Amino acid sequence: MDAEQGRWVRQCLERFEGPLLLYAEGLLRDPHGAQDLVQEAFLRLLGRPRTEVEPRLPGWLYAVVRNLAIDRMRRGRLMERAASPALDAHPGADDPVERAASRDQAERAVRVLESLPEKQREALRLRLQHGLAYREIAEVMDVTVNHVGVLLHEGLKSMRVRLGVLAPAPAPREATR
Amino acid sequence: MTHDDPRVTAWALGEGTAGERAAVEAALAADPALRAEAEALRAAAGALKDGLSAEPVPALDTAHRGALEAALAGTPKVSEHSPRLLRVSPEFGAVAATLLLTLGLAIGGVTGGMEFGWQTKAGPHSAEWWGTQQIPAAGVVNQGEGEFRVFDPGTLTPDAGGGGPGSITAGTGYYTGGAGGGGPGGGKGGDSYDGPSFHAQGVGGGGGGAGGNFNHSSTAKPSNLYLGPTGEAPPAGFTRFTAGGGIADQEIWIQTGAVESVRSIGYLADVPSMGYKFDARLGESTTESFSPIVENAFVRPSGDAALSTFSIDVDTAAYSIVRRCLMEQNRLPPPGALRIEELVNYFPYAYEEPAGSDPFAVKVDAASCPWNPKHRLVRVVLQGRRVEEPERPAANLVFLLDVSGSMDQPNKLPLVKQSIAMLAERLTARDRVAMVVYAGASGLALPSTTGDRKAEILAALERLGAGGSTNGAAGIEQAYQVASENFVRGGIN
Repeated sequence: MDAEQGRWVRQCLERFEGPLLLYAEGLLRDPHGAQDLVQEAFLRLLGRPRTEVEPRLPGWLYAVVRNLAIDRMRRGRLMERAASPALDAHPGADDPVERAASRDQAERAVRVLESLPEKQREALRLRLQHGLAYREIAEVMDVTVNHVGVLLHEGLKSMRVRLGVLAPAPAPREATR
Repeated sequence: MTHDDPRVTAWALGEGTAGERAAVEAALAADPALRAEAEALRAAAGALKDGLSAEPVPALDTAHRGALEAALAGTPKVSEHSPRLLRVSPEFGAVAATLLLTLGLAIGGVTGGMEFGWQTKAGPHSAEWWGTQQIPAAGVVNQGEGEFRVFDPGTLTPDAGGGGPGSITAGTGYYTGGAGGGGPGGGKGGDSYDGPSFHAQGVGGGGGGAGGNFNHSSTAKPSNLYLGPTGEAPPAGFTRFTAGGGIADQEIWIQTGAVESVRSIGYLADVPSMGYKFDARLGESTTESFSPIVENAFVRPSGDAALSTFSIDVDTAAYSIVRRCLMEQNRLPPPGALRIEELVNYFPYAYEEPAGSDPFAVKVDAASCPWNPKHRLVRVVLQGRRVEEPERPAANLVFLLDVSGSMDQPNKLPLVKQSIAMLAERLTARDRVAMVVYAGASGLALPSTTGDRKAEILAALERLGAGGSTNGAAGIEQAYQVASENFVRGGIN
């Protein structure tokens, strides 16, 4: 196989290895399984002509990882499925003592995220952690762009309510004409 | 724009074209409450983004990275996560042990299941396995699905086609113009991942060209499951199974002894990929772990707890399995397959029949227990009234037979044929029998025939041969149709 392809894939590896592993771990809850998935995704990338895949990165890689994860989970590895919100509810986000103790909203935000429904969680991560556009998220998750919007909307709304985020004070209202 | 409009969130997340954002901003300017909401959403998103960016970014461990490096360098390396090979037949086991040592694979703790890795063999179609298939412990049918997709993964060699010359066909009273000569055909097959149909069609005038060829160019992985083209011999150490249901010209080759049967349980026709599901039953394994068999405790004969139930339907399969394991395969039978009641019920006993009009008679015997002098063995016998041949109502029998390749083993199709032949001997002119087969094609092997025409019935049986893939649904429909066409009122249908 040619050196050019190898070099290109190596570049992709450097850029996306970490984020893909993060994503895979989020899907599988199993760091070891995540390694398998990401390895497989890059092996497949290796088998594709660059011109075909490059315009579709990084979404293409995420989508491959996601499909592999689904296959793996469908085959009965229930223990490794992403935790449902009921099981994974993190006490602490709404506890007033906790709220007082931890001013770090960022940390709390991540905890709240873990208690959201699976798809909302995934969409929010893909957007805010991996920086994918709505269109790319739609490709990865195999849903419509509109649905991506709905997932993000529902998720972020819940996030805002659970975090008890106070909006910055609105600018003084100008006299209406 | 209401608070519940996803466009507000999209704005808060920085998504959208300039025009879209301007529209939202106009709405926000007009509605301070909405603006407050949007700002709050933006703040929440910011907090989440910060929190997520603090998560440590993992990296591939040496094993996985190593495999990729090797692939990048052009030498496919066996990853440590190849299927864990369980012991199969003795000679294969020795080979496997050597192979594994050579490749330096670690055999992890075997949890009673088996993983398959797939490899494709270029054939009429190519396939790739998405993930690995976990087969649970022996004797348990895998309830999950194995699935693979058939597709064209990339490199294609389109064939130039060629149509034939046109011709003129004389019709009755008028002429039909012939088809024009075809142009070059061929085309690129679709992308496996999201492309259009992978089956290329040539386009031309009159004739079309042949579709593109498919070539699979995956990096070779060790595997114990192949998808191969029909008619080609499987590699050494592999047994062929036909498990079709959509792909008539492909077979599955599985490591000999690893899997007892494969049958398709569904068919996906999903352009651009086709796939099918299979379930597989693990045949042999020396390291299976079974759920412990719990013996019931002794119970006082008085009181509600002293109730035992059993089915009247007498199964005897376990005896055959035990006999086959011990006599032919020289191994102990898997504990999960062993049912003591089936061993007992296998043999014919001359029990007394019920008297009068009772449907069944019950008899109880007691004896000393050979393995524990403190216990007694009690035998409770049920004998139903035997129905004499002349009393038996007329029968309309339709046999639906699976004659796919998996039935080729001597304890399967030949045995079925023998059994049906024995039954045919006992049928009379009042009975009807038909046979529907399902395999590569389903078909009526024997139309509904009266029981006295034994030569025809036996001839049809002889003609049955195993081979082809399985198409159960069509077979079942046809069988029901034949049965209903020959329905016998008041008889056994």
